[in-house]
Amino acid sequence: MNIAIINTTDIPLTDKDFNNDKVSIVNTRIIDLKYCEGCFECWTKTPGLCVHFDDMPKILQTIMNSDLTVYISDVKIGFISSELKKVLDKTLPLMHPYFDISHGEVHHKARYDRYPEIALVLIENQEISSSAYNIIENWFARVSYNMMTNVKFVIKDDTPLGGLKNEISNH
Amino acid sequence: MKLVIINGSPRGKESNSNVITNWIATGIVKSTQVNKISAIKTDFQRGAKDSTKIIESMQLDKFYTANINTHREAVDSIEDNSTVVVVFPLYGDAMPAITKLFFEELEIIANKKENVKMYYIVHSGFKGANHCRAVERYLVYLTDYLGFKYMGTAIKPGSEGLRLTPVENLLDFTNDFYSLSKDIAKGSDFDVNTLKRLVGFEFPSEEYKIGIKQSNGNTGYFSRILKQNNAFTKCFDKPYQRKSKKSY
Ligand SMILES: Cc1cc2nc3c(=O)[nH]c(=O)nc-3n(C[C@H](O)[C@H](O)[C@H](O)COP(=O)(O)O)c2cc1C
Repeated sequence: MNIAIINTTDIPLTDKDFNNDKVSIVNTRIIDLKYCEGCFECWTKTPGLCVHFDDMPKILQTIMNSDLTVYISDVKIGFISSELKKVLDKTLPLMHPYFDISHGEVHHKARYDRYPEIALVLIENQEISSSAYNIIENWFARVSYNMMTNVKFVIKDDTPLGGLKNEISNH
Repeated sequence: MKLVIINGSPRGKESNSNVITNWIATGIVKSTQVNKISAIKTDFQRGAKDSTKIIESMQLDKFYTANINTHREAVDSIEDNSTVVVVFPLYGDAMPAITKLFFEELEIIANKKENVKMYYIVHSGFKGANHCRAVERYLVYLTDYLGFKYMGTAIKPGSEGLRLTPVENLLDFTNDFYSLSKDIAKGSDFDVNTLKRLVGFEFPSEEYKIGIKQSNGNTGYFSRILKQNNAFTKCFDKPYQRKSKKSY
């Protein structure tokens, strides 16, 4: 099983941390990532590709090569960080502009035949209250509906690695 | 009264959010019932920050989260007794990243300001207010975290066409947003009937879903733009199709 790790914290991870050639890591803080501008040209001009050049293609290819994508995020004012949100906003070109029905609701149609399952590691810089955790977990389930996939796990931890290594060995 | 309007769209001034914030600002000006409106010449399209003195006792500042350089100024403009209205489009069932960044910057005034009222307006591309409910829960949490007073979230699904629709076809919405501005100017909760009208429905009807299946999800809107851009034949391209790990 190929695992993509999209680490949006400022503690970089390396291949050595996992020692597993099925794991691919992207540390988003050390690459160039622009904010989505909402132009929709990834749907209407260059289907599937963002028209603004940055390092997002590397993340998108890593995601699409995986069976499980694990996002790692700090929790800031009770929600995932703007850094992870920046990455997620820019996954829009993975979907198609047409509509489809998922979970009884309208969502965008799949562009690809399959999408990886998704997981979330929340870094507890301060204790994450149970209400904040529930809000994030509930919202992350909705991210999976948008991506036509499932949530494998959501965990909180005080470092990006400890709990994640356990989860990866369980899967 | 100090009123701070935050346009949370990455599209800045070219956004549907701007149509809504202009309605809100105009509605507030109207509801103060000053006859000097023409003298004020409220032009919310200019500059990174638009500042208008509506009457001696009311100052209105408007900021765009798309302009990161003004985030700090926007935070600083929130004073004791301010009313803040945040309008943003739904992105991935939450706020756009740039607006989340602005929220993170609010942390420096958390529990440091007295009597700040927060109103939110969230609008989405999809119809069905259910898409916005997860972020609505977070907005309640955020406001409490900041030590501000949560005044409500108005949800307007199906907003993508607003900025392209002639104003005369939007009169119902305009009136609903004026009604929200009256509530904001009075400092009261949003009127529940206005909220219900804006929401329309929570989940799409069975007929609507059948229609989507039958049309293969093609709403016409995106096909038209793809054709205009000579990109229609590429619309099902899969540039990130799975590759082996070594090949990229
Ligand atoms: C990256 C991105 C993500 C979006 N995610 C959602 C979504 O999850 N649900 C939805 O209903 N609309 C979504 N939309 C559509 C916008 O909410 C909609 O187009 C809105 O009208 C844009 O408003 P604005 O012009 O004020 O930015 C998304 C748009 C973009 C560009």
